[in-house]
Amino acid sequence: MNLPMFTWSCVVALIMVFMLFKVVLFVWAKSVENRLFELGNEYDEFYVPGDSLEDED
Amino acid sequence: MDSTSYSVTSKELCLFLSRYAVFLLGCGATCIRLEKNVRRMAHAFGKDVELTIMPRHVHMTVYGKDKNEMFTSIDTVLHTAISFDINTRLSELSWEVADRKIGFFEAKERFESIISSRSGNRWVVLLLVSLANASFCRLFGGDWVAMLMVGIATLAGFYLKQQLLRRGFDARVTVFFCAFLSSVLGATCALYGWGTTPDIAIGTSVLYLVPGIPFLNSFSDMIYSHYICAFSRFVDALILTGCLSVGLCCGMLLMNIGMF
Repeated sequence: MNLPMFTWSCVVALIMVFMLFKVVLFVWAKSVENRLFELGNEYDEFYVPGDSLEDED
Repeated sequence: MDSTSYSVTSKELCLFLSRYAVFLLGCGATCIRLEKNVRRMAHAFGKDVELTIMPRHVHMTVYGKDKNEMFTSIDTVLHTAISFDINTRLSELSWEVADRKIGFFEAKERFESIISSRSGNRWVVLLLVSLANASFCRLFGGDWVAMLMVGIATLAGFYLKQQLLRRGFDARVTVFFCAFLSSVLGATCALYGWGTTPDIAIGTSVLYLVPGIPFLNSFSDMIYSHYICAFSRFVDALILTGCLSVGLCCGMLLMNIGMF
């Protein structure tokens, strides 16, 4: 590979890696914000106002 | 207290006008605009003002008509981003004061809100700058492929500029790196033989980095005899243009593109 092609490839690769990193970071931040699936206990699901709280049990 | 009937002291006015002046100069106003705006406001409050505008400092003395009460201050010019929006709003503020629409305290409040307001959306600016530079390419005779490459090169280069300046990098170093990046991306047409105007694509890919406002301001300052500021701004602009040229030359050398 000659020098111009090598330089161009390096620059474009760096930009691509940066963009990919940004997209992954964005998606990860979004997924933390609004989780589609989450593991929890049944207490969270079946809690009715008036029930005793978990730490009171 | 009625703000419009309040008799402002020279000290209060000088401190306010001094801050106003360094912000106005920092956001890209010319010396003549600064002089006019400051005098306009001082006269509206029944005071007179003498000011020396240096490249990095503003030295101001405010005094009453009878010269019994004087106050002098020296403030350092702020290095903020050039913003015509803030420039315009600060000039409007001076007219509102001059027209007696607002008093001293309201003017101070208005000033604080102007300088603390956020500038335009940076993504919109990024997009518009890219489109503008691609249009420049067209104006210089570039074809559609060249325009597309110039748009992409500008997008990447201007984004890098925004990021580096936000992180406090030196403006000269920033311009060098941005020019290098944009010239390498602008040389894509030449590298792959796309389109019929690859030379125009490379030449116009760095146009967004040309320090046009400092050049224009230095010319305006020179016309109005502010020679020190004019020379300082001219040298600043010249150094930035030099950094741009070095970045462009490095990009062209590495991409094996002849300069002459």
